[in-house]
Amino acid sequence: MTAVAPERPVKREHQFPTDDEFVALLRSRSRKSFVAQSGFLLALIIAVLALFTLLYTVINDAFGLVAIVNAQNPEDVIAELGLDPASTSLGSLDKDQLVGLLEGSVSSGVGRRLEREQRFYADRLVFESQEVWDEICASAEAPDGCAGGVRNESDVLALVRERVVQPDVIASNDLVPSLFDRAGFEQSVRDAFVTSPARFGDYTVDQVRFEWRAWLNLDFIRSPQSSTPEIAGIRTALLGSTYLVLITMLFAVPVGVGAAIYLVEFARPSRLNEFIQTNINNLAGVPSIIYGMLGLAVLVRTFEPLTSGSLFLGEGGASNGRTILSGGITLGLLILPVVIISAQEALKAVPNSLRQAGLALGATKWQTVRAQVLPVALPGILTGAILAVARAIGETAPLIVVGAAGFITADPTGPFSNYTAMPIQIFQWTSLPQEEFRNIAAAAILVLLLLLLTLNAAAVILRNRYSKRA
Amino acid sequence: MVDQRTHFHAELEGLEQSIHEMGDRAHELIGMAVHALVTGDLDAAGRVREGDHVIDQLYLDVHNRWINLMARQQPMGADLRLMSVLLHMNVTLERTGDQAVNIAKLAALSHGLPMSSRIVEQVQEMGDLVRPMLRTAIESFIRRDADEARLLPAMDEPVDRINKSMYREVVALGADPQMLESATHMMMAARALERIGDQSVDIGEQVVYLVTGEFHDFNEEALHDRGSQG
Amino acid sequence: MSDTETAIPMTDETEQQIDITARLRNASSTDSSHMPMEIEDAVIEARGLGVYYGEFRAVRDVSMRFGKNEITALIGPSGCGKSTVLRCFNRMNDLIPSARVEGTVIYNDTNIYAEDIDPVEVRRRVGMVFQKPNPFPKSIFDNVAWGAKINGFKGSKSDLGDLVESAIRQAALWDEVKDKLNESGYSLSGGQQQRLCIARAIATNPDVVLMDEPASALDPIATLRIEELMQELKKDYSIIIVTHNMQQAARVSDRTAFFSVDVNDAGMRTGRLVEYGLTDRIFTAPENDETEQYITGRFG
Ligand SMILES: Nc1ncnc2c1ncn2[C@@H]1O[C@H](COP(=O)(O)OP(=O)(O)O)[C@@H](O)[C@H]1O
Ligand SMILES: [Mg+2]
Repeated sequence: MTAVAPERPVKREHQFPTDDEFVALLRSRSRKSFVAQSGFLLALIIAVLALFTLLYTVINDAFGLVAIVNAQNPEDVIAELGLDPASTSLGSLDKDQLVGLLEGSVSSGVGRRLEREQRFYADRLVFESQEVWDEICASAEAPDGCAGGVRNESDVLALVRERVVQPDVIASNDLVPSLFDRAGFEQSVRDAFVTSPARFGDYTVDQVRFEWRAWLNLDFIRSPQSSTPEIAGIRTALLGSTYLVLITMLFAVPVGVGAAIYLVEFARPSRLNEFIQTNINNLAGVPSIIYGMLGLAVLVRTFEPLTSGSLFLGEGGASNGRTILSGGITLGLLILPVVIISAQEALKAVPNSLRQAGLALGATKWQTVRAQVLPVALPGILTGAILAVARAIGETAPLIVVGAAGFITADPTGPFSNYTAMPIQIFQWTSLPQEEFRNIAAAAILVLLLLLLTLNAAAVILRNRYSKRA
Repeated sequence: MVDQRTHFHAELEGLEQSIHEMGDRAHELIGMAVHALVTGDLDAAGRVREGDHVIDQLYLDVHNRWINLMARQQPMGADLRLMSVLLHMNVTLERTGDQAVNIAKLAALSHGLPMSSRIVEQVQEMGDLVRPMLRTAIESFIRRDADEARLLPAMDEPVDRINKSMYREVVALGADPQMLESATHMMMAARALERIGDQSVDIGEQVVYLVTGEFHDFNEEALHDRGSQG
Repeated sequence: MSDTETAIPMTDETEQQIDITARLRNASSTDSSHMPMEIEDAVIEARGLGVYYGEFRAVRDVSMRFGKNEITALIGPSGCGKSTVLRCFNRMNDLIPSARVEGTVIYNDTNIYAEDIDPVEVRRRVGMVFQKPNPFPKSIFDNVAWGAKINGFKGSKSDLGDLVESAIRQAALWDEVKDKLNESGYSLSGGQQQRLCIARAIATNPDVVLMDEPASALDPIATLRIEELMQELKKDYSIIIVTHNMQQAARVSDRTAFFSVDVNDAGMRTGRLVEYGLTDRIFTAPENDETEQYITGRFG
């Protein structure tokens, strides 16, 4: 170890470009930089355009002008009541007036059926006689109306629209042409009465009214599935999707996060763990239909007593394993690798110094993970989980395989119900011939998009809230 | 601002205290040595040697502490100047102690010899001039008072003058060999006292450096002053 | 080495534990510079300590004792294994899967590498402060209180408050944080964070505090504050500090151990203890040439 004088650095002037060369070089470098930047901008523009087009088509379909033939026009109804149709609308009538309209228009059989579903008044019956009512309510199969509450004013208003006005959409138009060429649409409908009158049955052209219609409205969300597009709603599918998501989350989040914690925090590097890790990564890329096959074979068939609920409920369970539980767990399995991987990433992003600090204080591994690592990783874990769940909501293929029903009007009531889900409902509607189904499919897509947006927003909010607290 | 190096500064202050103590002891020894010389008090001469032994111990102790402090604390700025001054003063004061011992030795050698009372008086006077010089040097150091330190060259002038005139006095005694021996001892003592005066001036220079950060050689300046006057 | 001291047996742990105090006394009668005889009251002793990372031998044959209520500095060139040795004293090396420790570390008359010793127990007694301040992303109060809580602190809520206050006071941080104990530890400056980490380490009531370059991420003034703090802390704790900053070792420590690296034919770099002694001596008159060359900057 003797002191050595440091080598004198050599100036390598001649190996660098001259000033003139350098200017030229710089120009070509700037040009390349500009080209690259433009390319990236173009990519961004394409992406934005694609997104915009998607939204455009959906919104275009979900709103627009319709040509309607009413069984009874609202003005006529109001005029019959002796009111001025110019200053009054159906919505401004009171409940008694509305019930009166119903009484006047529907057949007594339909009226009784409606009353049995739900009464109009608590203190009196409208369509049913008291004796018959008492009798059927005392019978073994008492209808819902015996126990349930009373229809409120807006319920009755909806009934009046459906039963008294009875609008029939005979043609619908997209949003943009409706805005810019209303006359063209009206003309084409009138023309159609001339060219192919058979299409409109016994309607006459004078009965046709042109109205704006938002296919996406509260009634659409509240109504169950129906074979008539004007009154078909998304409620059944929305409830089905909600139940599915709940089960998916309950299954995938604890299992996924638990597995991730084990892999990141506890597992010592070994061949086996490496193998498991590789497989998790690969599973994340497996097509979703394959998860459907898995769900069908294992959940729907093999574990049918479990997934149909007959094990717990006996005869009360579903007739087969094609239940929400099967669907939810199938979707859970589908997103499990993604949940694990994103949770792993979130855990790995926690600086090691925190673990060391915890352990150096004499904490056990689990104490350190629970008190110091998890709180820091939580926003990341939740964000990953929510995004994965959002993906599950949009999944169609595996649900078709594990047997979500295409057409079902009964709301799901629990994990052992048969069900349908939003994407399946959309898929089914788009494959039907009537033009109006295309409109409600678009409305359903908007609901689905809104749901996804809400979930993503929740993920962002969670992340921000937690990262601020740290 | 809060002192972030209290431990270092405490040690530094301890070191300075030791230097103060050395100064006090040296001051005391000079008086004792001159007293031993002029009165022939051999006990006092013995006590001077013992006193110098203590100074030597202090010197060694300060040296070791100084080295360690320097090695470990990397003093900067005023602390660094103080460290430099302390090292210098340590050496100087140790030598002052040695000069006192030299005078005490001369007291033993001169014991019983006849003496010229004039010369003895002059040595006594030098002792009386030199002791306040050392006092002034130490005090100006304690008070960090550069102006006070700058008085020292002027105080040194009478000491130099007496020291020079001493030579003529001694030569005048040339006829009496017995007197000559004691007078030579006195001349050597005067020389020692003159050195002590110079050492005090040295310390004064150090004090000016400590306070101002600039070093001035008082002797050079004195020469220069005289030159400009002439 | 004197003839009373032969090579230390380093394999048979049970034998070593038979009479540790007798051994300590025996060892203290040597005049080896590796084992200064002044340390009667050792708080930690390493015997024949060596560490492997997989096949790579990072440090070998470290035998030294650490004095109670003293600050011992480990210095040496980068990669000579200072941190590795330090981590042996609270078994933090256990966290590195490839690491393997040979030899023994005696703390409290016990070999902390004995089979029946739980590292968690060791770490409560031998705390650690790291290079980069690493407070928990929690309130200042919780940062300090957590260590006590997880170690089963039995006092009441107000006892816990007192404990936290006294730890923060000991870490010379109280005046700066007393009005914002509920704010995040991250809201503090780097130097304050490091003092918070020190408060956190001493709140579990350890005997020894290990510090691995505790000031290397701090500015000079914050560094000086930490150094001052260490002088206060050594009244209650024994401190072992790793530092790449020689001057810092010189400033703060009572004893200094100099480590160096040997490179073997295969290019494997193995650290070893070169010289150990009072800091005053190591920095003014080291006995070993390698030490001299290192501290005078003529190394390598
Ligand atoms: N976790 C680890 N895995 C493998 N080798 C390591 C690890 N930590 C340290 N080493 C190696 O051990 C040697 C000593 O490292 P370290 O103790 O960090 O040195 P120092 O603290 O003195 O700079 C180095 O060669 C380093 O590369
Ligand atoms: Mg290190």
